[in-house]
Amino acid sequence: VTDLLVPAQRRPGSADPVAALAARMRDACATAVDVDEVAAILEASGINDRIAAAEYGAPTVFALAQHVVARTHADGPPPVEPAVVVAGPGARRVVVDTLVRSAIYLAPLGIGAGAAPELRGLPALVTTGTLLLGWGGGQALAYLGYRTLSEHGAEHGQVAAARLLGTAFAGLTLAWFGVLAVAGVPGPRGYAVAAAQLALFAVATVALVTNRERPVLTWTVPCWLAAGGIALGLGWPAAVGLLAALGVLVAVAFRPAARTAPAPVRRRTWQADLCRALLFGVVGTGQAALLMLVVSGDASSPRVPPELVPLLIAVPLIELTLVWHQRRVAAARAVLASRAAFDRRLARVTAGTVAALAVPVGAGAGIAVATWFGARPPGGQALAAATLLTGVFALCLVLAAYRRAGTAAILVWWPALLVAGVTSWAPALVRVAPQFPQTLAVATLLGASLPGLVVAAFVLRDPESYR
Amino acid sequence: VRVALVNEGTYPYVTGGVSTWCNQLVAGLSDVDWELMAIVGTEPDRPAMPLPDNVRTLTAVPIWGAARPVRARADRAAARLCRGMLGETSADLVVFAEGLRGLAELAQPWPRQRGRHPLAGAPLADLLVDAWAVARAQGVRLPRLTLRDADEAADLIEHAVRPLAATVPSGVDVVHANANGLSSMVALAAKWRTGVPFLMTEHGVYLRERYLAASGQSLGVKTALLRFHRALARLAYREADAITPVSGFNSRWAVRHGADPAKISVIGNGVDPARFPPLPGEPAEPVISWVGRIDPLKDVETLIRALAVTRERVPGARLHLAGPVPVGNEAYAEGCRAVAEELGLTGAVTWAGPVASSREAFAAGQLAALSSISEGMPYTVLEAMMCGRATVSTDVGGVAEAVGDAGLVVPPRDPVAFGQACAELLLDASRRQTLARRGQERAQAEFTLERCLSAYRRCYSRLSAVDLVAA
Repeated sequence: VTDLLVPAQRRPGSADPVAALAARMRDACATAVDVDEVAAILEASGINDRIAAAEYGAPTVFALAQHVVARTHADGPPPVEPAVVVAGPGARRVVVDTLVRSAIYLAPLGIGAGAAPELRGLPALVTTGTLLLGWGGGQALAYLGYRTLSEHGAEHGQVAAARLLGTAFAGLTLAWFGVLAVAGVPGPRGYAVAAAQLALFAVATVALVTNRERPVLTWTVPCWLAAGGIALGLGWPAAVGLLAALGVLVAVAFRPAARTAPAPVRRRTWQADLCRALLFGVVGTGQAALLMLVVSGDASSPRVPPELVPLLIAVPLIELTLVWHQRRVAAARAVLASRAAFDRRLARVTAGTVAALAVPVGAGAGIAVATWFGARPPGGQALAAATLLTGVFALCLVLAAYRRAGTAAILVWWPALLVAGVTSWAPALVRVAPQFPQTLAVATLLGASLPGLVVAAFVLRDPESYR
Repeated sequence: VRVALVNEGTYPYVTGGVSTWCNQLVAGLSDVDWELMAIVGTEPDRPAMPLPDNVRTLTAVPIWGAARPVRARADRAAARLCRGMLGETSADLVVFAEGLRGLAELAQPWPRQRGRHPLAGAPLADLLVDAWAVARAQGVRLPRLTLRDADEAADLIEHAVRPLAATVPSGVDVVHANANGLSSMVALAAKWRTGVPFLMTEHGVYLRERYLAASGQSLGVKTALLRFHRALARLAYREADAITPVSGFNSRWAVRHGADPAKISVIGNGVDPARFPPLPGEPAEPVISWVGRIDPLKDVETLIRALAVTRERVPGARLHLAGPVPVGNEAYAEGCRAVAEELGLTGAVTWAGPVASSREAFAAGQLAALSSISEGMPYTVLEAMMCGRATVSTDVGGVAEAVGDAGLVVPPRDPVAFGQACAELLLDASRRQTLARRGQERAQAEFTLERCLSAYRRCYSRLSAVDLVAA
């Protein structure tokens, strides 16, 4: 049953018991840090000073361990310790996982866009307001969910995180209902739409945090179909179908919460985590605000905005770029033993990543310049703005992933505030030049993405980012 | 006298083993005011046992969970820690001590505040890589340390030094670390900050246990961690004002790693005679009783093989195994059952499961067996002796010291020797009874609870300069 080290040494006929012991301990000696480790192994195998003296002629176990190590070295170099290989998923699996994750990210946006005709006539507080709340709340709660996951460990983490997120999103929904009621939103339709939007964000958040993207993604298919039905004009049957599919999706996504209760981990304080979560919430809300300003201007717009297309295409590519970067850096740290060598490798990897991040920025700038000089590229300034927005989101993701959430918040909020502020406070400009908001959006996004790209390059290049 | 008793991963949040010892000490020394400090993984819920009235405070010291970084830079102290721990010489140990002391100063709590974690946020992995390169260049034998190894080792060391942030209540006369390692780190920090004396008790050997627990890590990570623990253990042995291992066997490691033999006094475990009165008689059948958890360290497999040897001379011999199968040891237990089946002993081995008292299990046998391959000072042997049962034990840890000439001691992992010893006693009632009586006398003379408590009472008196004995 157990690895019997000692009795094998007591086999009769062993002329040199120390040599026999050294032969059997060759592997242990190869990975032993020092003689004391060999002595510890010998003692755990039942050899004490008396046995060392009686059977091996060594006065103590420590002396015997010294003899064993010396004999191992004398009999030739000890076997080289095989390099520790951390079994990780292959490239194909990583790509598929990343695409699945991206699909989960995009589900609230995509399903919401498909169901846009059902939002017609609802107040902006229900549509745009809920989008801002759901996006920001999702980011904030995702952070708290990951913290809970790490604190409870692998076994109970899923349950604890799912319960936390379920409770928090339920509370958020009820509080939002209160706000809508105070604002005088009439009828059940507005509340149903708000609840559905928040449920989509809750599902995406819990799926990502509990690492259950695949089963959850499978159950989003009925939602996509129902949303498609709404977009094709099937009306209330499709809307009812969407709500029903959403109910099932919520049940699937939060299923871990129903498992056996883990022992609660008492926390001294949530203060630091809440501050951090709030920061992520600010980033998420800023992203949502920028999206609304650049892409459609109103979530209740009765069409699926074509400007979403660059975002839908780019999100998986951005995710893949970031995963590629992380894997390259991790591989470098796994094999290199020199900080200088790592620094050189990091410079090369970062150059590749920054080049990829620069693609949407360059493409957006190119379309904008072409439009400015009178060319008529499809989509014009709107496409340029959407492409630049994709670039800003990519930079935002990088900054948030490498502990620069504050910088990410600045990156998304200053263009959002500038565009919203100018168009609100100078409506005359919009009347005189209807294209002004789009031109302003392009200019501010370009103004945000160029320095953002430089900051992201510094962050990716900084070895401190990988501690 | 006020004593801060520091434990890691045991009392009062876990039952059995060292916790039993602690509970006896705390409840037994009712004239001592206790400040309990428990190093734990994360914030625990509540103690696993009721605390005696003379416990003033219980402070949990979590080493995982959210970090509280220090407000000043710890780079310099961290660099000295890394440099010192990798070397082999006394001068290196001094450098390590300076580094750890610097971290202790940084971690020191301000009035009405909690201590801070000195290495949280420090670039420890980089410092470790640099120190590693210097040590290799100076000829220290070290394996290759990749940056990922350094990240992993730095993370573990950062958590390992978090006990430096623990605050020993003011007015404490002695800090009693109930092991080397992290418990002793709390005592070291208190000694450096306020000069309070530091007593160390070792039940097992902390450093040896670290060596044995280090498998599964890459060689670089393992080496870094063991160098840290070795330096810490050596420093604690050097700085402790008194060291009280439970057996002379354990003190060998302390002396090897720099403890002054003059500071060492062995205080064996104690058993309460009132809880283990002599058993009135013995069963008619030749049964060997065994008490413990089903664990590879207890080497139940050899015991079963020994039964086969015993039955060659005592055909009716049976084995009564009393004890739980801990979570994670199910496969081992199954393996033992398979060995019994393979040897045709299925009907001769009773798996009695957990028992309320070991005395109950000893009553089922004519003699008591201990087949472990590693022990400190096992209670089961002392309890069997106190109950008046002859013992057959393996020569591990402090067992031979405990048994003396009052039982049979055979080499570990030797089923033939063990089985023959059992057969001898089962066949010779007179010898069995002589050894049982001798064991009982020895236990009552050397290993009573009161004797153990008195030894610690004297120890606290000496260190605190308070005459607790007279009081």
